[in-house]
Amino acid sequence: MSLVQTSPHGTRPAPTPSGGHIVQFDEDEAALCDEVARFLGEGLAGGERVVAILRRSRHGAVATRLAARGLDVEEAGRRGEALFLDAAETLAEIMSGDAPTRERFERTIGPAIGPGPAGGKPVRAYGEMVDLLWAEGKRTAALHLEQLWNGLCDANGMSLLCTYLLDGFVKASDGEAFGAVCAQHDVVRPASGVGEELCCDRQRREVAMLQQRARALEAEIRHREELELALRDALARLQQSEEALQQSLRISETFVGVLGHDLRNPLMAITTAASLLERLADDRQRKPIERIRGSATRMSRMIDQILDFTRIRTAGGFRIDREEVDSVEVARSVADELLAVDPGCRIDLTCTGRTIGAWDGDLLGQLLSNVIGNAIQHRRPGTVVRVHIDGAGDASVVVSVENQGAVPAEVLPVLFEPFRCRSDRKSARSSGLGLGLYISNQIVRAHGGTIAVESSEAIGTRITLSLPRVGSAACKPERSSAARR
Amino acid sequence: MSTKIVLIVDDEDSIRESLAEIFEVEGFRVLEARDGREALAHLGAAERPDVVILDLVMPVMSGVELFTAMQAEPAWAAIPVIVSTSDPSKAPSGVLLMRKPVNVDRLLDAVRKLC
Repeated sequence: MSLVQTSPHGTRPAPTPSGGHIVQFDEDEAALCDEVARFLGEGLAGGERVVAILRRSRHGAVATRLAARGLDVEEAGRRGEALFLDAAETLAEIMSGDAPTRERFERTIGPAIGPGPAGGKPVRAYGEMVDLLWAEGKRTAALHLEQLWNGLCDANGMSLLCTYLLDGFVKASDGEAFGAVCAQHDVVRPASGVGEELCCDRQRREVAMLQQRARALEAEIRHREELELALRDALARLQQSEEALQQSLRISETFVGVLGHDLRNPLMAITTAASLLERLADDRQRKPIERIRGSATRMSRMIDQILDFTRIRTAGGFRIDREEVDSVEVARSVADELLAVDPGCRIDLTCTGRTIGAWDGDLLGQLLSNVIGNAIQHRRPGTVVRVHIDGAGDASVVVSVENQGAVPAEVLPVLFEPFRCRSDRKSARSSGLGLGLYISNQIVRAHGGTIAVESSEAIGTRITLSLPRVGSAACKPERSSAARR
Repeated sequence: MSTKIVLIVDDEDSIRESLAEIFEVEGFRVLEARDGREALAHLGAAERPDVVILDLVMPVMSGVELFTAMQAEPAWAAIPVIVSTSDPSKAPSGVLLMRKPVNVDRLLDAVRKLC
């Protein structure tokens, strides 16, 4: 079953002897003007009266081609043998809203066409109004206008030529619309003179349909080529971005290298000189020397934190080297270090159950040092920091670190965010970068654990770390101990 | 008890000289070297160090090269080495590692334990 037969607009009956309603499809503007000039020229040469309703822009091209055939359009017009009308103006006359009406069509086109052979010369008409409507996307209106033309053709037996550029049917989905246009015509002429030798109308229609499909395929290929080009451009841009990113990464690595290695030597020169001075100084000099050492130590800690932060951001987190670790031993060692720095503080370390797990020992030390150090720093003066390690559970060891003093309500939701105290430096008691708890959270996450905080003026602040033991944690006799430090 | 000898190998004058004075104040005898080659000269002398404090990144002969040379010579292989470095990833295995800036008190403790 062909598309022509399935068209909702029906198929025209067999052509009338005079030629009937013809549709000519064309590849381009020049070919279209050639066909129009040939059609009109044959009419004028044969003594027919011609009526051409065409775009103003094509008037000159058609007239020139007719002149080349020895036909003077203006002279024919003066003799009443030719009438040229502007398609846009004429279309405006017959339209009501988005559709042409029969009444307006007959009132406008009827007088231009005249009574037909019975009242004078045979008429040969050419019209582009349908193509204008088609180009504007008003396809239903175009097909309706074709039907109005059919009525006129049937009434006065004239020959009527319509032309369409194949560019109006470039999508694969245009096939049905193309079939509908063909169905409105007695004769279908494929583009480029293809199929002229065919005497069978059905074959010419099929050739035209194949041309439309070929045009749609060409358009699809062009579209895909454009997409491919765009994809290549996008890939090239992506590659450039990647190169820029690599460059940025190299600069970042250099920066980290400078921060991590090159700054440590002068920092060590400061701390070593301060240590030497401390040994040689009298009591009055000891305090400023201690300040130098303290500041250098703080700067060293900041460098470590920035390096950790950079590592987290660039490598996606910490790399864990698991080994069997006793969390109590690590906590005890951390407490000793913190007490050495701040001998005035008190840390109450207790534990229950099995406190061993497969963790990264260095990172666990860093984690506990951050969290307990943070509790010491923010405790209410004179109060104890309590650290309890609960190894009662099979799956995880839970470490809780408590201090008196509440975290401000507005800080609580962002406590584990990086650089959280940078915007509040005047009021913050922290002397660091605001990275300690962020890094702690990352260490816990790298171990597959969780970190949580509760805080209020009534209960103080409690940070709870849950660390999965992960597999090979050794089974040792359960113990319970308390050590006041 | 004889005075223990510490060899400090570091190309940073300010670090090496301050450390040397601290160790002297703390009762040690100190040998200094700016690079691995100078350190080799001390190792080859009659007065051999009891402990080596070794920086890794140095001109002429690096800390890793010196450590390798020490391991190849039985008389030196037994001398304890403490690596003091800003880049622990470059440290050879089997040494006591301290990251710069090193805590001097801990360094002293470590040296006392090793002597």
